[in-house]
Amino acid sequence: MAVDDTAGTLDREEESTEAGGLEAEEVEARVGLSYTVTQIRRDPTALVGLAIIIVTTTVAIVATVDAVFLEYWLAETFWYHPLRGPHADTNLPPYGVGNQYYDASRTTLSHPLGTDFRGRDVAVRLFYGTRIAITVGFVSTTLGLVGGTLTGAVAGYYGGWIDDVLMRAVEILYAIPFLILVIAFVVAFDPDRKNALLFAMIGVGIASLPTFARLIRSRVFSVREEEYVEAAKAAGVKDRWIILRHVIPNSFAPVLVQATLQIGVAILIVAGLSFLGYGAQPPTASWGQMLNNARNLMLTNQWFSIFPGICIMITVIGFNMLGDGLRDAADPRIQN
Amino acid sequence: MGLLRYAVRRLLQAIPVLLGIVTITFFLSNAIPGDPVDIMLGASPGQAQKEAIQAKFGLDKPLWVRYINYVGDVSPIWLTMTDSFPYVAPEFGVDLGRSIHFRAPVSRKIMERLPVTLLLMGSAFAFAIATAVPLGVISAYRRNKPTDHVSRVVALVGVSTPSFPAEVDGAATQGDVVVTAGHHLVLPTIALGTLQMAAITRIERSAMLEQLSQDYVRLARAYGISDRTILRKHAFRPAQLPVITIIGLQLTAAIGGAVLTETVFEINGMGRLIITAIDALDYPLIMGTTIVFGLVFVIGVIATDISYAYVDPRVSYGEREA
Amino acid sequence: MSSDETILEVEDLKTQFFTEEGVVRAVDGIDFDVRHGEIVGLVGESGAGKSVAVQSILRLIEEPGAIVGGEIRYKDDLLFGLEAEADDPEERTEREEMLTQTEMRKRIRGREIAIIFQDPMESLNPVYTVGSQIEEFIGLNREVSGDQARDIAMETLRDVGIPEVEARYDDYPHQFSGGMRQRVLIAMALACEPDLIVADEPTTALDVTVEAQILNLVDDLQARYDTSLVWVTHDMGVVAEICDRVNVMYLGEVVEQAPVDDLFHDTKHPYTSKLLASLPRPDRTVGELDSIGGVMPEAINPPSGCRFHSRCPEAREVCAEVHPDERPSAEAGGDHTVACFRDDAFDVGYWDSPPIETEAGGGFEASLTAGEGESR
Repeated sequence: MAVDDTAGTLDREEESTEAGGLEAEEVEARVGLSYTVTQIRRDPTALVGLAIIIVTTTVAIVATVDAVFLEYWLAETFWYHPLRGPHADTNLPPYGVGNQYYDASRTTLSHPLGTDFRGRDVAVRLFYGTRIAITVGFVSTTLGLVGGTLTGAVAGYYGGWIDDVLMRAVEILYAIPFLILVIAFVVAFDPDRKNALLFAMIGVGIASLPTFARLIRSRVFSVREEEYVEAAKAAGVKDRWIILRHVIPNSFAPVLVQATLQIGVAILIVAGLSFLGYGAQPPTASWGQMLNNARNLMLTNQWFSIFPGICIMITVIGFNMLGDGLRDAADPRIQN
Repeated sequence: MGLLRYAVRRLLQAIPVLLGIVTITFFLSNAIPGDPVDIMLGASPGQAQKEAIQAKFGLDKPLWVRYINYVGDVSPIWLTMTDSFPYVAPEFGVDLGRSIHFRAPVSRKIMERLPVTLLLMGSAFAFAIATAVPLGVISAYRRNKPTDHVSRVVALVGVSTPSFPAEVDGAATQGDVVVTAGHHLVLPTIALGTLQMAAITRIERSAMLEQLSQDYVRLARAYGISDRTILRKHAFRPAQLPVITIIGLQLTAAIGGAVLTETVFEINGMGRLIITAIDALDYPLIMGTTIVFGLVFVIGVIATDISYAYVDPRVSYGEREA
Repeated sequence: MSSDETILEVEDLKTQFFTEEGVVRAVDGIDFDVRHGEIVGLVGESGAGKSVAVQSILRLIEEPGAIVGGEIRYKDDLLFGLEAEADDPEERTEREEMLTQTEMRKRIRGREIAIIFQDPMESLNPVYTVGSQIEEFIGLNREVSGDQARDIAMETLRDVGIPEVEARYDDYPHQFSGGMRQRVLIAMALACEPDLIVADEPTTALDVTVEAQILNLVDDLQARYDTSLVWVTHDMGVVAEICDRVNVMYLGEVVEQAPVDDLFHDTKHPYTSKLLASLPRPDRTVGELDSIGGVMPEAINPPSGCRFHSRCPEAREVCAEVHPDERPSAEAGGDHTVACFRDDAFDVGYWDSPPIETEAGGGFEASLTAGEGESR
């Protein structure tokens, strides 16, 4: 029997069941955002990360409300003022366990982590430091995300020389080490460092732009070949509309993963900048700045750097755990 | 043949990128408020003296003339047909100018400091790769077993830990007894390498997981190839492609990390040089160090691209872009 | 050309996947055998468990899947077999004579049984040359030197119709087309000189003309290399083309087993009839092309009774209640087995049982009326 006579297959049948039944929805959902979100509900790592993020963000919101609207009324009423200590200008030796001046009789429950060289409570300062870290993470990442998405979407969609120019520009941005870029940014536009933190955030945001731009661009390249974009084009829909309506929503899952991881990176970098003196300035309560203080005292108080360090680590781990979980969920290649 | 052509094309592509780095650096440096001549001369300089120095360094010219001039200066000498402006401190046919702060040619300061930083970064990457690759492979092979969980936690903590307080503790012990050259390198290497290690481990793991479920790996198993050979050869080689990419991209992070590490461990490398330069508003030094960092990065990326093309035949034959 | 010596015997094989949603009974008690020199077909829709069945033979099932029961015999070796433990009859352990993983790897895989996967585009390692990949498998599975391995590889590549083998030997897979890659994979299997080749839908990813070439090639080479084949497919056309005997699988079970001519001309199971009816044939108009109504149920929660009853146009109440085992057909004779109550081998009162409404009814009617609409 010749093949041509009986070359029919069940393919037709399979196609029709796939297009109609549950399967098609599942295939689409797998790359979609909702699938990713449902998937992490089963992942303990991602859930722990999410819990850490929720706790730190809540703390940050409370601290921000108190700092901006209530002028530390909450802190002073129920705790201590995070910026002003009893010894405003005297360089008092910091107080706490491990300190050579430590005196057990002075220990009270009210200063569980001790006080710093101005007599300010370390625990309060850590609490209010959360606000800086979270703000920095979200603001700078949003900047990078929006800028990168626009650049990548335009470059990927139009292609050709527009793509070449934009991607070379992004590559240049990537080639300048971000820490130097940010420090130069701070020094260039803010010599007395009044707004150093703001500039540090913008700088880190710009430094993260290339990653998002590349990500979106590669997504656009694959998505724009797909039929519905072709169909939209054939129907005479404007390019800008296609990018906004089809390409960007379809790239949301990987961007979300990258953004979550980037928030952690941004917190780490800005803490590093504050540590070097180019970020948050005294008397702001920020973890990086507290580390900077601790650095001067390291010979007498090594433990002093531990608490802000742990705070940074836990917060960043939270974002990394969630990001990792999201990535595993969004990546069909490493599914079971 | 394919590989060589690819390498040449990639090198040519780097030229506009380097030009862009010079441009951005130049204008960003010039946007810094404050007059370097004032800083150099100290308090109350005479007007004539100031003008003489401005003329000597070409600072009296308009910005765009200085820009063109600077581009001419930093270009290798054999590319510059005419140079309207005399070289200030040429070395190796490149003129990066004279440092105001150190009162020495920028290129000499960089030649002094660069080897230290390259050694630090080199050993950090060597440490990171040597630990991360086996860790990632084992983690993927023993997926969801205790080994995997431990190494994932190590990687998570690694990328999340601010390396600077750890360095503070390390620096404190340095004041102690025997401070050997090895000791000097070990702690900074670990401090700088941990972040790269964690990033590489994560990529290695997911790349190996992806490879282990590939049809050609399953086929190798079906033909009686042992797990060991699969891990070392069939799955390993293709899995290194994303790892190579990430190593290239980690270079920027490593350069930033070097700035921190050098500051904390008081290592006189490029990182501290650039901080000094920025603090002293030493334009020529800021521009020089940034450009050299940019150059290191570009060379690193090209090197990773070429090794990518070496591992993946599809790239050098032009089927797929890196 | 086929002698009666049975080389592979699969009995009551059960392979399951332990997922979060529950246990998926991908292969649920199938029997089949392969005799020396024949091509045995394994046919059914996607998801029927064909691929899992053949991968179970080589014990390539990975977590969360596992072979949980049955017996696989290859020549004198026991590839898989369990026995009840002496002190606890519930607990079943691997039999002592069953080959270990290492023995499987060293003695069976590649050497005795080779496999060809469905997707030729994904089955070759992109970072190694085609020649070196074949050479490696030959070197591992045959007692030859490196140079000999290279000669064998070249010769086999020529046999499967790769043009200019010397020039292409050191090319990378991406420089080959899909059809050429599948030829390379066939060469890989043949070059190891196994006695059995398992081909898991090897032509599904190829277009029809290339498929025809590959089928002719296999027909040719099978005799020359003196090997038996298990050919997995969902395409009855392919079955007709090359198979000697056929096993029809539905939802983890074999529902009909027969020599190829008997299967086509004396079809016993309604599912087989449906598969045959879905083939386009020159003597019928396209409007009449029949599809099987409904979707195959999931193997995680198979229907009661006969698993096909939910889509079967002939289903009666008894079909939903009693599970038919596979028996030699009373009408067709000894080597034709079937698992359907319509055969006289069963005595469960099918003909007295009232018919039931199934998905197939609606789908069938609908497709008929649609067909009429088109033809007018």
